[in-house]
Amino acid sequence: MNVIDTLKETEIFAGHSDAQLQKLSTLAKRITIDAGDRIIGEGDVPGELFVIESGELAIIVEPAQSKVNTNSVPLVTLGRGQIVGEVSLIDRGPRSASVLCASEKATLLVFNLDALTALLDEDPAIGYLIMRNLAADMAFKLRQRNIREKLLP
Amino acid sequence: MFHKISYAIAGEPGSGLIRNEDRLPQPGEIVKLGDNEFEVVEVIELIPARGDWGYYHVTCTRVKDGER
Repeated sequence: MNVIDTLKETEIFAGHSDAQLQKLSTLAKRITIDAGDRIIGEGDVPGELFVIESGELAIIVEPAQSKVNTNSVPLVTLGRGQIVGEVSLIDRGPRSASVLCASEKATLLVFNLDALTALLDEDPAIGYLIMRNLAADMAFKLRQRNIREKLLP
Repeated sequence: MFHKISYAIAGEPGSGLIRNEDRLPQPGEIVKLGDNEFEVVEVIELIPARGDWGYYHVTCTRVKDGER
């Protein structure tokens, strides 16, 4: 699958023209990781945003500095077409969770946050679409957590 | 149409998965999440569709070995 086809199936890039996708695709680097590989560590300084092309990533919160809680807490698994690391694109805060490869292999598109931010600043039309779609993605994640609390005691 | 789906497993908090699907699963269908199979119990539209994107929550139960 070529990079632009992957971008077309990723919600954060919805609504972009072919020319805009071409511009965005120049920032993407494809990597493949193996089961258990950690791509983000909780507390890390953010540097990248990841798009899942294939495979699955587990989002986990590490144990607190406590003798009581020594187990990492799984939050959710993300698969095809989802993005990881997007919160740091907005607030540049330290990573709020760790991300590990949860499948045998996963193929990801990696975007450097500084380069992506520079493009969004330089091209406001792309910037608006990315931010609007990011907001929609975060709203989805919030709503799905709410409905789980409601439906799954 | 792209379907963005949040899967949740009844009785297993923290085990959910979010991914895009080419088609929307229906109640009674078996879906594979990771290495395991699950039966779809409920499908709910989470957000009204926007452009080419539909947004859904799907509740599943784990298929036990030998039950399929």
